[in-house]
Amino acid sequence: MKALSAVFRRDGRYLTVWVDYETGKAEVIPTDSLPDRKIAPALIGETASYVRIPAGTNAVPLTYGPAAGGLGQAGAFELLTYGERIVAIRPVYGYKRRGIEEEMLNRPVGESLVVLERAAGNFAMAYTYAFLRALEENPDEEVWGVRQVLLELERLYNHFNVIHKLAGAASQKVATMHFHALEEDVLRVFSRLVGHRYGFGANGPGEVRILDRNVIERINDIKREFLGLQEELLESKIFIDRLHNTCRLTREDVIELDAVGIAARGSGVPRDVRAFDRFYSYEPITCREGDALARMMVRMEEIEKSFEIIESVDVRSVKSDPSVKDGLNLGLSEAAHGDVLTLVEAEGGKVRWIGLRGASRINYIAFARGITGNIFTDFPFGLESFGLNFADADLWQGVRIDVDTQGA
Amino acid sequence: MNPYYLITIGFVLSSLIAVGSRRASYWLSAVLSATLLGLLVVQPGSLDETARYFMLISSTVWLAASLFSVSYDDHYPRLLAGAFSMTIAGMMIILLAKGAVSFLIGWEVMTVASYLGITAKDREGKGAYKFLAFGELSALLILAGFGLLSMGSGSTSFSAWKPSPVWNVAFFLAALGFAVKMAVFPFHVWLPDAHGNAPANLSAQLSAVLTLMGLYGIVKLLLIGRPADWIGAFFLLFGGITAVLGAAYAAGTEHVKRLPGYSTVENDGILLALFGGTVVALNHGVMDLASFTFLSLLFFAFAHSVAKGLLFLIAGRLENGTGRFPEVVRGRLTTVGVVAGYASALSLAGIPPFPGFLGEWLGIESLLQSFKIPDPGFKVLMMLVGSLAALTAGIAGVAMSKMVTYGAQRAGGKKGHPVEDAGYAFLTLVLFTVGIFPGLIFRLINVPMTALTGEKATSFLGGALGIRNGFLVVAKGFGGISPTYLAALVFLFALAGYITVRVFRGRNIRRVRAWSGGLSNPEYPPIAHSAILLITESWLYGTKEENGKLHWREKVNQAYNWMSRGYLSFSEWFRHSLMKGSDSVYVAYILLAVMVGLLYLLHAL
Amino acid sequence: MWILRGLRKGVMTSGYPGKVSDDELAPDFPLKEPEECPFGALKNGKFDINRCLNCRLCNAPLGRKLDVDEILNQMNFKNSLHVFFLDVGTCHACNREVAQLSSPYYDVQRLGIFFTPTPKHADVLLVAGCPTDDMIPVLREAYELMPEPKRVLALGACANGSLCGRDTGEFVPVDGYVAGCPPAPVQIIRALLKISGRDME
Repeated sequence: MKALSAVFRRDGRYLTVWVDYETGKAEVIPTDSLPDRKIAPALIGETASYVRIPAGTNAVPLTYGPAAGGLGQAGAFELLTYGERIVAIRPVYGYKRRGIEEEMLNRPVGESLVVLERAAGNFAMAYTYAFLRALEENPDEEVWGVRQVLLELERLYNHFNVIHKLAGAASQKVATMHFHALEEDVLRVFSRLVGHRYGFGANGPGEVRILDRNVIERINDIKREFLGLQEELLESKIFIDRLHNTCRLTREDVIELDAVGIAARGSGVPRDVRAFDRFYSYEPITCREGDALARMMVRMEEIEKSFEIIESVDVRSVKSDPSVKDGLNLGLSEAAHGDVLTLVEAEGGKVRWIGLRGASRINYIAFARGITGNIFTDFPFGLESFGLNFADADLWQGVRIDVDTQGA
Repeated sequence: MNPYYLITIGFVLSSLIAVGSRRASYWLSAVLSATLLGLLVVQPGSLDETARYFMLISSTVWLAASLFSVSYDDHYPRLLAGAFSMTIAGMMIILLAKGAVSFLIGWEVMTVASYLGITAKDREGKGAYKFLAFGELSALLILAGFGLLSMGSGSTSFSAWKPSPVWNVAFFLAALGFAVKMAVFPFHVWLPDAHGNAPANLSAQLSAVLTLMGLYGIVKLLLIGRPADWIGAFFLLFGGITAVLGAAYAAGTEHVKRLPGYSTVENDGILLALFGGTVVALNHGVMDLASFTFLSLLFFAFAHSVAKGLLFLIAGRLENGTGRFPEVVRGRLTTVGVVAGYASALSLAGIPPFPGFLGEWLGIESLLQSFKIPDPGFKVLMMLVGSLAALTAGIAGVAMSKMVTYGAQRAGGKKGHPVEDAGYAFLTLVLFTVGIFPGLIFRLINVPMTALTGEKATSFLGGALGIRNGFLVVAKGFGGISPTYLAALVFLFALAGYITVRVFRGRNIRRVRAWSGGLSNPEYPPIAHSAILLITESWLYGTKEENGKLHWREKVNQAYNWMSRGYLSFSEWFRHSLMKGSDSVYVAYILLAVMVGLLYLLHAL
Repeated sequence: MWILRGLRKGVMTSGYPGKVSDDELAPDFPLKEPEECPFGALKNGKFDINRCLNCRLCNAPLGRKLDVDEILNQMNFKNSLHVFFLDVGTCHACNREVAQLSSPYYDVQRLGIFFTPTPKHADVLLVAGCPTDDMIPVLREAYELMPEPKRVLALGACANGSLCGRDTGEFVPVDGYVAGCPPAPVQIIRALLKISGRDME
């Protein structure tokens, strides 16, 4: 089944990207009008149509954000409520439109990578992975093996962060601190492994740079710690109860909204780019219930899988052919929260046009669908279970500076 | 001639003058009320002390309501002004009555006049009709009770009544009648509709003084003789339930006049529970507790009547459009009005330095002293009702904070000095004075209490721990509180804080906007104030959330509507089946009846 | 048994201020002034560390650097500092680093630094990210709502004008800068302690 994965504007038309998660085939189709899928307006950044004010309502619109303490980032939600109940809600995109996509253009690929990493910092490895998959002419098995390790390490610290946030929302004061410390442990591994806490600068076209490969052994300690913590955390009935039946997303919702990543897998739809990535041999992990608990359980199992993948690779610096493909190419990779997509047009070894689509852009809409009808106290559980952020949601595309195009 | 009779006639006159000039009628009412008040305070004469106390409360409210009406009633039919004064006249007759007949005459005059007054605003008449129906129910019960008592003692005069074999049944019937007038559960459904739909000056009377007449009847009967235990238990239980329901519905309602209406149901519930407690304590010989509970009863009644009267006068100005909270607009109250709104709401929520605080304290304190009663069953019952009363106080806080936040606080900004401000200021002054110096009221309760238990109300004023004698309210052997000292301390600290800030830091003040996470500062709708109760206790409210709308309907109300609809359709069916609509059948019935009558007559002869 | 686990794990809090372990800093800053920078950190031949993206594409020797902050204007709140963090357009890495300050590894509450959810209770406005069009009015409003005395600390390369060309200083007066992309938690702590008036020498 094809899902609408991204919509960009080019030369006065729409460039739509469709992905089939079963076969792994993707299509890029130019059209004149917006595709008739529910997620299409969000993919071009317009979310106003996702809230419908029922006639005769006594609910009023409230804006949560964009400098709300609870969210901690520049993004907002507009919700309709008569007190306690979330009657309707939509995310507001645009607070993080930095124009960073333009900075990636017309530079050597190594420099474009630097900017891309700083587009969504905690998903930098995923974006780099997708970008280089699109661009590299002769991908080398060993290089991509080490890249997998970096991607899985990033997945680890993001999943730890989500569990830390969920435990924090449930006032599990001790558990939340343990998981926060685990996240820092992985950042320190990155710091020694590649020389940057978030892995920036580890990847270049055709090469991956490792400073101290021995630090990978710390992963064993982190794994042992995680398994112990997981067992203790799941024993807490109070914690489980807060997640159970909260922010439920049905299978039909997922398919209607073309949701990706954890949002899809938590509702039984096995959408995972690693399933058809030729460098991975991977089976997607799913859970059928579709509530916040299901999404957390999917993450926990993925953490265990990530440990396996990291252990199976020999991590060291590798250099291979740095040549870059010309033309329009698509790259996909599975970040911690869902798949990120890069559509790159290169010419003469430089990027001329780029389109980026973060999983948050789609999954915030899925979140809005799931949290409708819940009460305020369930909001943080629903939100944190998706593990999204607005920086990733506001990424779109960079325009060719030298050609006169309509829209951007 | 007795000055009070003169004043009563004066009110009747005022009612008749209304045909000519509404203003004149209200001004006359105000003058008469003021005279009455002055008379009662200075030279009560030969008036019965209990009647004097209740008349004092009533005339306070009448004075303020009359002043309010001068500027409020500028477009209602003259019927309202006439009804207003006639209601007062009826109540005067009740208070001055020396026998059952005059009492009932006054009762009917009061009920019918109020009914007519309610119809001045309630076009469809549903709320008015409900009022009349339940009013007559209560009159019927009172009549039954008084009738039995009159038969038992051979005279309709109150002084001739004495305890007899039918005393308990008669007392119960009459007390139930009075309780229906005080909106006891399950006969409370008429009050929010009636008081909510009536014009505000009349609503103030209805809630503050009419229900007080019910209490007056009960107290009068109690002073004649004490009823059995089971009557006490009945009113304890039903009073407690009424109180909780009234508070819950007050906290959930969206209408500015229904909220005080439900609050009256709540407060009357507490009064009935306190009455039940007095009876129980008397029957078990615990005179201390009986006196204390009786004191609570009378003081609470004072606090409630004055505060509720004032709150309805304020609500009258808040009412806009359909009268719901979202429609409250600015410019309806002057600063005096806003302060009065705060004072009345806070008093009803039980916040110091208002009399409601002391009243609430006295009430809960009496019920929680149930351990003094030897019987274990009553011990537990009274304590349970006491905890219900405490719960009520909490929920009432939600209701009254809604009244302040979405009502009084929003409606300020009016310029000028309308006459109603005099009424507001007067009642606010009374609230503050009695709240800070409650001993003044205790003195007035001495005589009724002595008649009941032999103790004096002022014996509950003491001094300890540095508090001067007379300023500490004591529950003997249990606890004490000093509203006077509390008020003084709070005032001193506030003053000290204010001076410190003004003198030492007062120069650098920069005013900035509110912050709520961005640039927009949206506000919660009024329904959100109650949403937590409505959603979590949906079994109590019958809450429905459909199509983005949150609404609820009172279940007892629905039951009544269902019953009355059922009765009406049965009545229709009966009518149709009895009289098929065909004239010939009707004629046949008549002929049949005539024949039967003739046959009987012939047989008898 | 959370108690046993906690006892077994022991105290993991950073020794800073005092000792800084190698784990706490990544070797991503140039130790000598670089001669070229593809991202415009060189202005008239002078290296502006505040704009360094830690991209490591320059040919300079790299290492661990703790003193990457520049405080112009200290306060006198040595014992208790309240900070309001405002994200005006980050990539989310700065948000994560600031969040780590409350983790057991760094625990800034022991140093008397607290985060507030509203600018009205704050002494320091910690700004991170490239100021975007929609967030500039919010930035100004937050600054306006802070009571005196107040300071603004620009955190990270983006807030200092790298990548998007917009500098926090164009919108509100800035009293301190922290370099890094993102700045490490110990570097942030150092700047906060310094701006609160503590002597870091």
